[in-house]
Amino acid sequence: MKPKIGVFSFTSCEGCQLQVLNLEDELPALLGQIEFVNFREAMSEKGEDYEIAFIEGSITRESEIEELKRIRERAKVLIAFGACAHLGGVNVLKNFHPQGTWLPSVYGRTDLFSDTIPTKRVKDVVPIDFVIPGCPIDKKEFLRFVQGLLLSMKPALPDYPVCVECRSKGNICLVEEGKWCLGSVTRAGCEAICPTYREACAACRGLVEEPNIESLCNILMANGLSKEEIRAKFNLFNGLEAIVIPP
Amino acid sequence: MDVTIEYTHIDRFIRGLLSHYDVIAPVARDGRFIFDRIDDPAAVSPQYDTTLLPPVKWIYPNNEVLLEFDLRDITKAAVIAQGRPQALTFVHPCDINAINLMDDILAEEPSDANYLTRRRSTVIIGYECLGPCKENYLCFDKGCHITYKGFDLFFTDIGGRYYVHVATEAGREIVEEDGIFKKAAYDDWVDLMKARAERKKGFKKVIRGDMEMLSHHLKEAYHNEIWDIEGKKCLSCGACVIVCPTCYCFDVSDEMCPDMEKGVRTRRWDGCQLRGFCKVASGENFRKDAAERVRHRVFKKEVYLKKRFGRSGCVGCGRCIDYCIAKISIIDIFNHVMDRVRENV
Repeated sequence: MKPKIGVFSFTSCEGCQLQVLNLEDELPALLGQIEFVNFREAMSEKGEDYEIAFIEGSITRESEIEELKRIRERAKVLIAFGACAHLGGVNVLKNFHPQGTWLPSVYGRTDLFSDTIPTKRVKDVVPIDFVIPGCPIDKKEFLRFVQGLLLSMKPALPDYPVCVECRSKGNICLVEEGKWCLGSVTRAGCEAICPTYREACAACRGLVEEPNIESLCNILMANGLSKEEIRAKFNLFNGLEAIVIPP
Repeated sequence: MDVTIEYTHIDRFIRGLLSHYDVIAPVARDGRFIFDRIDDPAAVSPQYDTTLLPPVKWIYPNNEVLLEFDLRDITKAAVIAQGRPQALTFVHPCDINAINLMDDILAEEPSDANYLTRRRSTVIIGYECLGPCKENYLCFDKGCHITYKGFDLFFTDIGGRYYVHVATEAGREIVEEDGIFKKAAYDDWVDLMKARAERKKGFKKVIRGDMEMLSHHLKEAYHNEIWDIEGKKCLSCGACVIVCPTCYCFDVSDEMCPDMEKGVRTRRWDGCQLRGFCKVASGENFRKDAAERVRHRVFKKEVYLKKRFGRSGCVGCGRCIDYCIAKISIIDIFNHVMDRVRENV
């Protein structure tokens, strides 16, 4: 029997769901192996008999907490996919400002979204089994992950930093050029797509185990960044992570 | 057999190569140089300092497919050893010395069929360095600014023309085909000797001590404070091992086709500076501190490879220094160790 999969979306741009749909060449063959029963971006039916739940988005409203808990109860395996679900993502930025200041500046009024709460990661609300990181996710990584589940293999994420992929491509290092980049402390798996296009890595895939933040801060400060600027770079995706910028 | 070729004939020479080989040549990119496959002779920059990745990577590519398998009969997995004829051109002596060492390492049993197949279909056209290419070099200390083997042709710029040493049968075929190479005359040889005499003035020793003793001194410096100092700086980002022309470590992974029947096994460059490199199945990591890993990299090159192959694993190209954003330098490490030896004597 084909494993049944549900894909659910919370506060996010839904770009990670689109990444799954972007697997245009692979989906027909993959659908011989799995069955989607609930996938808002792709289908109208809303089945409740899923075994595997992919959760996209962070939790930013009271009502989302109950919804997520309900999915967790039904699913045997729950995966946080994408930076919002994994890390809170860019939605965490609101946590750094009093609600009274950002609500009118974003929506022009304050009576919308009255149940808004500080952004939480999926793991802050329910236990998660696995993570597929990234903003957006890498569609090939999603494919490998699902294939791994089908083969009963424990999914493994790269445990090395983005620099490995970036240097392997022969890219010119942004930090070497006096700019900023967080690739040296960020989990790889994206094929260093941002630095390959000369854009700094903003750590959307989260940090590697034991990142040398202190050394990176010294390097970035030598490149002219202040501690506050470095903090802001980390906060873009990792605002809820315990990252200590040395004094 | 030695020949010469005028500067103005280089375009024709490369065009001739292109009819037989994939031509890999130094080309300018964003103010730096890379080895890239070219189809236009005008793209080639024979005058380059150093490249971001060394040319050996064209023999040892990243994400190389090693074998194909089918889950319905896993016993029939077929090794994919591919070797399109390719010419690595304008390769500096340091990088040729590195390829020579890689040849020895990967021919050791169990030999690496994928590397050796690609190596056999590769011709190497060397290009002499008449001076150091940059600031962070230690090729001279290593004796790797020159090379006596590992090439099919070897070019030296002698002003207006190149002096070309023909070292192999494949090299002879290349120079005989076009009619643009002339047999080297006595005057050409005199100019070659003059150029080499000038070369001697350009290179300077950068290590303060006897390189023959380096391996010995390092072993005595196993508990030196330098490893902790450098380890604190190290990001464990792996840049040094990815750009090194003699690093050959890799990791393999299997990838399935979407139909879940066929799959491929690929290898990805890996390296001892990465935190997970020494992590084993139990979760134990037997080089868990960056300091231990930094020390291991230096020992691998200067002690372990030297013991196995009779020569250092470092050819002095300086890439690991240039591309370390934490500014960890093997020149500084070697000098620190050498200075400590002198203080203690």
